[in-house]
Amino acid sequence: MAMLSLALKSLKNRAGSAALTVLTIAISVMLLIGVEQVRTEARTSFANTLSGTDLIVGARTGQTQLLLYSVFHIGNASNNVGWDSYRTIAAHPQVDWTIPLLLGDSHRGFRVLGTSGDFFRHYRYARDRALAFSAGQPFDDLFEVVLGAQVARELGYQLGQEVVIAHGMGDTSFSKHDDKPFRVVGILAPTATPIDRTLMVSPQAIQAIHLDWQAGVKLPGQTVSAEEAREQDLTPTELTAFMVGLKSRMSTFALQRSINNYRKEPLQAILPGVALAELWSLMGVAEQALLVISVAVVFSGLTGLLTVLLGSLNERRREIAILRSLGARPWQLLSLLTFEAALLTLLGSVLGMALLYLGIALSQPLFAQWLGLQLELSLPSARQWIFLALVQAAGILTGLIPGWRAYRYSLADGMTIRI
Amino acid sequence: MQSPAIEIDRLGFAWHQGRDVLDIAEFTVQRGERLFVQGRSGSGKSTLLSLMGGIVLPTRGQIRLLGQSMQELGAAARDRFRADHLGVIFQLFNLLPYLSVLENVLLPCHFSSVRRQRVLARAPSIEDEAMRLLQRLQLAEPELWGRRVSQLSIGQQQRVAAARALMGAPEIILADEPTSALDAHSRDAFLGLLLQECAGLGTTLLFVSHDAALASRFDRTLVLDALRPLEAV
Repeated sequence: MAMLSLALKSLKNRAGSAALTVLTIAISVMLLIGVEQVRTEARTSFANTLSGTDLIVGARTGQTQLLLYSVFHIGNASNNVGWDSYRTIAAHPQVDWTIPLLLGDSHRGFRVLGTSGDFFRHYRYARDRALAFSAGQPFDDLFEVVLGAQVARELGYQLGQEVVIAHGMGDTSFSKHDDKPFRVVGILAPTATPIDRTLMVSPQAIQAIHLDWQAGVKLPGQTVSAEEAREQDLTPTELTAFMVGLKSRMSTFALQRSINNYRKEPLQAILPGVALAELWSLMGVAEQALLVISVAVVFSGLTGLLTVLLGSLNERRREIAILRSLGARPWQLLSLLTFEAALLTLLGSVLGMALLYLGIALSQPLFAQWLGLQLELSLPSARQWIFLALVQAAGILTGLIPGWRAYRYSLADGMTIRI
Repeated sequence: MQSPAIEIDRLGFAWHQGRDVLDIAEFTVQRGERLFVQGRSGSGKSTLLSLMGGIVLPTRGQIRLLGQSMQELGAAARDRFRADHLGVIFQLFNLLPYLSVLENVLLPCHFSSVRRQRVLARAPSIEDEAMRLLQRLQLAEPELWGRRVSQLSIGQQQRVAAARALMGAPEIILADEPTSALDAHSRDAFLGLLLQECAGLGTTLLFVSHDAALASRFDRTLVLDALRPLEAV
């Protein structure tokens, strides 16, 4: 019977408190790796918001601001882009496709986006994933609307339902385009991007509902009915921004430069990847905060481990003294306790990872629906492995402290073991 | 000629520079001798045992076990020496409760290759020797051997502790009040078995007790006095 089997038998004898220790470590590890996972996924999910678009064009402003209102639908554009300019750039020989973006209206707190059918054809998110419909199809008629997944879920909308769009933002907006209701013809599958929280209509529809409006106010006595609207020229005069896909990536910078120097009006073209990275670096503080939380969680977990080990050492003082009186050498006692700490930490890490994976598997749909975070069930990343290794190393080091104290005790207790 | 089991020369010991708790001018225990150490509480019995076990070193003078001076050994070497040459029976037995009877008896052979070799020189395996000792100490039922020691009676536990101390025939056995938890009948039976087995193995026995009635069964008695330790024969 080697020290190993002695350690195991001793541990088995204290199975109850050992199980609690393992659980403590497991929870710490679960939180650490879980927080780390969320942190990584938040970053990925953020970077995944837009893909495949080479340039975003809007009125001249900061690149972060343009990205925020055009892609994330946060805030408002201070200026619009003339429809003519849009058509001119869209006709550029290097341009493969464009997606117009008309923002400003809302429906019960969700943004309404006026865009063309190209949106459903060319918009890409994550790693080149196209938009998919969970029900219905793209809009075809003037007063048809497509809903983002979260809009449909939260408002409980079905295909064929009528939707009234409000002017401006806000749930309680008094100015509603209630004379021109829209019919739901499509519902998108979840994308974990701002698209989920958006209603999509055609640019012409945006124009149509504003026919009898001016400067944000309904013109009294000048009502244009839905049917009358159909008769009019509904080409918008301006749009918020537009996305551009190029035939060749090589021409990105050349086109960006020529748009930035566009003479008819001040325009700005940004590279989405660069702007996303810049925006994320602004939010880096939040990311660092999460990292600090992770570290604090592990620290508290290891403190718990140390407390439990030192506590059990007092119970085991007699056992240690007996072993020493029988000829166990100090390094054997040290390895006995360190082995125990290492084993408990290892079991805790394994259990923690198991709990984490179970938790992710169970909460995956919830995370995707409510937070727009797509948590992946994947093997630990290199960084997570490093964290696990650090936890293990810390566990072993923690075991050295009671090991050393056990040695001191055994000297002090001498041959009279009466504790 | 073999060196004596224990030699003490002008030994003095004080904890933390206080008053001496032990002061023994000269004392020798021959090999195979069975010595009774008698003293009241606080007479320095435990300190004497710690000195003999090489756990603490004397403040003054010399203590030699089997011819080896304890001061000349480093801490690790004293640990080794104790594991190889000393068997200890404690007042509270100090068995490991989570091990079976047999595993407890086998423990010394796991910490000392010297004692293991000594066993294997005359028994086919260390388990055989453990079983032999248990049988000699009237723990003959094999079904007992697999039990956890915590399921045994006090008397049985003390015999397991004795078997453990005897395992691998250490030259010296230190017994610290081993009978204080036993009733008179068990005490006499236990002492008889222990003395018999020590005689069989040629082991030096140093038996510490406050119970003067036991002294007659030993070769010699050392009386420790609380106030002025002295030597008597």
